[in-house]
Order: sequence, then structure tokens, then C-alpha cells
Amino acid sequence: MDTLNRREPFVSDYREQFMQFRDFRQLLGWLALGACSVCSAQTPSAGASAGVEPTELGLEALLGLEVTSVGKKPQRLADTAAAVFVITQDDIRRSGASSIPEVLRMAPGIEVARMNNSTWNISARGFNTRWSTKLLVLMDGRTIYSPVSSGVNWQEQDTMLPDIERIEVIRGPGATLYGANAVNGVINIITKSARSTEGGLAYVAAGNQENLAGVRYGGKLGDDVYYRAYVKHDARGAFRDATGAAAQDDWGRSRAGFRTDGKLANGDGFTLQGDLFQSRLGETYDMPILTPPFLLTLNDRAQSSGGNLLGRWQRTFSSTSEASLQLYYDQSVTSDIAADVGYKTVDADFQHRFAANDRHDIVWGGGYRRTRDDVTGGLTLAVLPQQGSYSIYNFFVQDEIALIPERLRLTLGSKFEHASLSGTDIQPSARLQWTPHAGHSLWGSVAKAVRTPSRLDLEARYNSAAFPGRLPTQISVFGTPAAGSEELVAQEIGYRFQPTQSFSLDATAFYNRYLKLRSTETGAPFVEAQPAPVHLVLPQYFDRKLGGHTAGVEIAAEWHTTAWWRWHAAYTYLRADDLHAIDGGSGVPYKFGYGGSSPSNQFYLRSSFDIGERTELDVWVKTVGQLTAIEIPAYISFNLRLGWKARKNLELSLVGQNLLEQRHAEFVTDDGTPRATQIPRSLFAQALLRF
Amino acid sequence: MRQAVALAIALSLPTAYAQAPQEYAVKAGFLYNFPKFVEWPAGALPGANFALCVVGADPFEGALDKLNGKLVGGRPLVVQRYSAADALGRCQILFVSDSERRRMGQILAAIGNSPVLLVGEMENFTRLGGMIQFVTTDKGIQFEVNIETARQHGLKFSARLLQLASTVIGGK
Repeated sequence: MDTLNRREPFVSDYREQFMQFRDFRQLLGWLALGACSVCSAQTPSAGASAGVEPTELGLEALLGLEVTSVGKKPQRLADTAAAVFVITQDDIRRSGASSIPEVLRMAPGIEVARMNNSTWNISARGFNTRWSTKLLVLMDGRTIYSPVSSGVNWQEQDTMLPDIERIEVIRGPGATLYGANAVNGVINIITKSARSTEGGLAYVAAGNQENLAGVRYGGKLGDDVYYRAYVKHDARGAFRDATGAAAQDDWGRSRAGFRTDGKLANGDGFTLQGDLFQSRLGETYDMPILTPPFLLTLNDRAQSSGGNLLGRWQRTFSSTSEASLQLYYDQSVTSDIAADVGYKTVDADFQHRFAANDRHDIVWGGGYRRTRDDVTGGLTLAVLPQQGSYSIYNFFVQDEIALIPERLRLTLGSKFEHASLSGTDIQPSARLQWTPHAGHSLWGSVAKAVRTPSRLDLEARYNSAAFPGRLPTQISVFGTPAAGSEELVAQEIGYRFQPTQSFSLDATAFYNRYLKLRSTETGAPFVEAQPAPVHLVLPQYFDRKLGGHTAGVEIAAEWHTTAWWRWHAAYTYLRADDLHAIDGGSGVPYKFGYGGSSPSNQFYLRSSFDIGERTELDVWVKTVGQLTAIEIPAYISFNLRLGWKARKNLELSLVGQNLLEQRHAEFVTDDGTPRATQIPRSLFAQALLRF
Repeated sequence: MRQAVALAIALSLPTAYAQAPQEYAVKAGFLYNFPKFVEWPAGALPGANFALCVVGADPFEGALDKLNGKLVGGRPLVVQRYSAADALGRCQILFVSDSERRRMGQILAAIGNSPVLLVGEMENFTRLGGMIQFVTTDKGIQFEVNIETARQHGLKFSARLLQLASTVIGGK
């Protein structure tokens, strides 16, 4: 790393990237020309009302009209005193993303680093590693992180992308309502209600990297009960490594699911949904062993499968009082050479929201979650005891107080949690929002958040390296009871500006003070006889003797330049270079210097064109700064999607991703993970039919 | 270079419309059509105008203002915007924005028994005192109706409207 360039890595690394970009300006020109020649050859189909004012049509004609919804319902967002970014279905469709992690690249404050074909490392506001622990992800209210590792297995989490209603990306501690693990952010994936997905949808996509297919059908079961069911399959071809040699990380997965939404005679709403999935992944592991050559490279086929079932009941007592109860069961098993990990979780959550009077809006509730896991150690990982059973109780309450109605709102709340693995935690928060005038909103918040430990933090042993010496020597990392909850106090301020319907700006600045972070402390070496041969162990123990702070700025803007041309932009700045020892610790964080595995600057820009009545072109660019501690250089990703409505219900699209370079790296092989590979340039064509 | 010029020309052509009509342009069309299927009680329309009001944050982006001046039952339509604290009983149609969810009680009190057609799109609107609720689906905009609430305000829905609604609450 050249220290002279360190001050402005963001700019200098890009000069080379822009040279290659010129070739692609040509490509863009031809594409746009091609798109316009298509649009000039079109004539509006008979009865097409796109050219006719909807107000000229009768009721029957209006009912059959397909509509586009591009707004983010800003009137709802403006009510929130938090850093929220909403990804709409329109954003998902037009980005050309073929998986949920790829959709998240457009959100400010979120780091998405694809480590290899089937592994995405995603975090918010720093701390990105294979098992990013400080980001809570929910799918329709179900927590989707592995309770064993506190990280998200993104290859297990998927759904029919066209049936996602929206994804709410909330940065900062959502602790009061969502609970432990929402330390740096919450990603809330919300699928459409079954009443919005009547009818069929089928798609097929083929390309140089991925082949995808899926079908969904929805209908009405009774007077006010709707359902849908889907099946999908993805197959992805292997990536290559830095030398250009083919890697072994090809993978495929299948998924099926259903969702039912209905209303009972008394007006209560209910939802029942579930999924089943199965995936097979190729992986290459480099494992430390105790005999020469001390490193064993294995190509493995991992398998994972699982399913979940979730039910929700909602009662609206009045416009000022609503309650909901949610129950779910979730289970999964993953087997590979590193370990066999299985878990079963049962969760119950209750919530009641009511207006105590004109000024007080109160939400309160509680929940219980119980998990049983079984970790059968493999070559490098062991957890003792092998099976664990643990639970979390929580209770929360929040009061939104209208200090000055419509203008000044104070929200006070707290979550109380008792986890059998770590004890009781209290997570209070206070938020203030000032709306001096309809188009401006200023807010600030202070909150405490906690990440509760997993069994991996407390009871695991992981062998990370081996080398020769007087005795074969092994470096092992041990979980200990001292590795309890990590704690954060976060301060944020934000400003929302929406002068007209066609422009909006959302800016947030934060300062996170970490009171306790997981650290590794070196212990006294000891000799071990099992497994043979006799070897020396250099132990590292997990503890919490690390503290420090991070700070940053996140800005998102949307501009509707004309009725057919829109811009979306997001900028993220993160400063995470201050971590220090506390309580006499060694000052060594676990994993890549925390700040060093996150980029200081990220920028996203997407331009959406509606060309004629049938064609859409989206072009987006993302620049990600270098990851200093793991020597991943900065990169620019250039992507586009061209969509064409061949018939009323048939949409064809062409998606190009990472077009600037043949391949680029986004992360390195993390401890105990399969080898990282490089992300290639890819292209696929898709046909989507509605029936 | 030639390609760049072609691109510039292509992009400057004023040909383009949005893909399909905007959600709120279509909802504005619905609001204009609903009065044809609703019967107001005799003497309920005292003024010279037909008032279409919006309470709360306006999501229509100007689509509603295109209706200004159009005739409804011989009366010119006038679009007006209010907050939950205003006297809403003088409206003939009141569109309740999602932002007013927690002020529904206040809005219903302001209307009392006056024959105001309450239209909205918030979750459970027809069970919170609303009369017509828009539901956005993959196949376009549909609507639910609550006959009971309408009846309580002296409004009568035609049989054709009940046929076109995706769900009918009350009555039977």
C-alpha cells in the first residue's frame, strides 16, 4: 500500500477505470439508438390507454389498466426520525438484479461485498466480514440470520423478486422495536400481500453466468382470502480466481413457497406463509493441518436445505388501536467440510399500537424465541457442547409524543431483553423530529444497542492456521464466556428535503461509540496430544476488550428530471479508523481491523429512461473505495438493463453487470471460509410472462 | 463521436410517455367516475360546485388538478385541499391520504353524518370508517366498498359499482 496515495485513494485509482469506460460509451450509444429505433417503429396497440388520459376513461376501462408506481410514498417516510431508505419493486425490477444481495447495492450506508459466487458479505456502517453480526435482516417479520453464527447466510435467503413489495433499509440502531443484532442497521424485506398477486407470472433467464427460471400463480380462495404459490430455480456457473483459472464455486438452488392473506368475518386479518429451499454449492477450502504441508486444499460440495412457516394475525380495533401476533418456525441444515450446522427456531411476537390521547402514540409488545442447534465439527471448527438450546425473551415500549402537533415530535422507547446466553440488556432510545414546513424535516436520535453473543462467540473452537516448529504449531481461536454482548451508543442527525414532488434529498450523519467490541486476547501456549500428532497450540481467546468510534455520512437523492427520465443517487462516507484497547486488552480486533474491511467512500448513480411506450433503459454505476486492511483495490462497476415490452404481458430484458472489467475482487478469503474468487463481467437475457 | 451525436438526438426527442399510466393518474380517473355510481340524498348538493377534497399529504402529483372544471351531474368539479382540523362536511368526495391514518377519528367526527364519499387507500380503510378503498394489485387498481358506512351517511351505491368492486363489506 502506497502511503502517499492513501490520502485520496478514491480519486487516483479511478483514472485507469475511466480509460476503459470510453469503450463502453460506444456500447451505450448503440444500445440507446437501438432502443429508439424500436420505439419509433411501434404504434400504440388498439385500445392502449397509455396515450389516453385516464380521466377520459370509464370505470370498467380503468379497472383493467396496468399502472406504474414510481413514488416512494414520501408522506410516510417523512414521518420517520431515522435513516430509512426504501427500495421499491420498481427499483428492484429496473436494476436488473437477480438476487436480494445485489439489490442492496443501491442503498446508502450498506456495504455489499461479494466474496465468491455464493457468498455475499453485507454490513451497515462498517464491520464487514463473512459473518457480519451487527446487521439484522428480516423477511416478512422473520429474522433471517443464523443463530449459530449471528451472520446471514445470503445464499439461503431468497424469494420471487417480482413479488417483493419493498425493502426498507434502516441504518442505525433499530433496537427499540426490532431487538438484538440491529446494532448498525435493519433490512426489512416485505413481500406483496397475496391480494396483490392474483394471476400467473413466469420467467426464464439465460446468460454467460447464470440461468434462472421461476413461476408463480395466485388466486382467490374465498370471499376475502387470497393465495399464491411459487417455484424457482437458479444455477450459476463458476467464477475465476485472480489468475484467471476457473474456480470450483458453481452453485444451484431451488425454492418453493406460498403465501395466503385473508380477512375474517370480524375484520381480523391473517397471513400464513412458508418456504422450502435446497441448495448445492461448490467451495474450495484451504484448511490448516498438523502434518506437512500444513495446508490442505479441498474442493467440496456443500449442501443446505431448510424451510419455514409463519403465521400472523392482526386486529384493528380502531384507527388508533391495532394489535398483531406473529408465530414462526424456521429450520435449516448446512453441511460442508468445515462443519454440519443445523438449527430449529420457534418465535412468537406480539405488538399493540394505540393512541393514548391526542398527543401520545404508544407501541408496546414482547416476544419469545427459542433455538435448538446442533453443530457437528469438521476439520477446523468445533463447538462444545455440540448441541445447544437457548432462548431470548424481550419486552419493548415506545411512546411517540407530539410536543407541537405536526411540527415537533419526541419518541422515547426502550427494549428489555433477557438472553439465556448472555443475560439481561436494556436498549433505550430517544428521537426528536422537527418539521418546520412541509418540505423540510430535521431529526436527531440517541440510542443504545446491543449485539447478543452466539454459541460461536462463547463455545466454539476454530483452528485458523498451522505451521511447523519444534512441535507442529497451531493457532486456534476459542470462544469464551467473556465474549458477551457488544454494546453501542449511537448518535445520529438527519435532514429530509422535498421541495417538489420531483426531487427529494435525505442526508444522515452518525457518530457511533462502541463501548465493548469483540477482541482477541492472546493466551499462554499449551501442548495438546489429541488429535495426533502432539502439537503446540497458540490460543487466542474472544473477549470484549476493544472500544472505539466510527462516524459517517449517508446521502440519498432522487430527481425526476422529466416524466420519462429519473435519477437516483446515493453516497456513503465512513470513517472507522479509531479502535483501541480497553480494560487492559491487547487492542486486537477480531477480523481485519474492522474499519479496514469497509470502504471509506461509496457512490451509486442510476439513470432511468422510459423510451417510447414500451422500452426502458436503466444505467447504473457504483464506485466502491478500497478496503485497506485486506488490500482490495477500489473498483467501479458499470451495469445496465434494457427492457422491452414485446406484448402486453410479455417483457423481455437484457442485463449487463460489471461491464467495465473482465473480473474484479470485492473481498478476500475470510477465516474459515471457502476461497474468495473474483466477480466477472456478466450478461443475461430474460423473458417474463404474465398470465 | 457519431454515436454520441445520435445518442444526444435520440434523447432529446419529445416522443416519450411513461411506460403505462401513473398509478395516481388512474386513481384520479376513478375519483372522477365514482359519482356516476353513487346516489347522494336529495338536497345534499347545495352549492354550485362539486367539491373533491384531499385531506393530508397529497400523493396525486397534480393528476387531480386535471379534473378541475369537469362536470359532475351538471356541476363543475373543484379540487380542494384540507387538513384534518378543517370543516370537511362541505366536501362531496373526500380522499383521505395515508398520512391521516391516526387522525381518522378526528376526520369522521368532522364529517358527522354528512353525505361525504370517503375514499382512501390505507390498509383497512373500509373497516376504519371509509367507504371505498383502492387496492393496488399486479393486474391494476381495484377497489373495495363498505355499503354500511355509505348507508350511515345517506349514500347509496349502484348495483353496477358493487359488481365491479373486488370486495363488498356490509349489506347482504
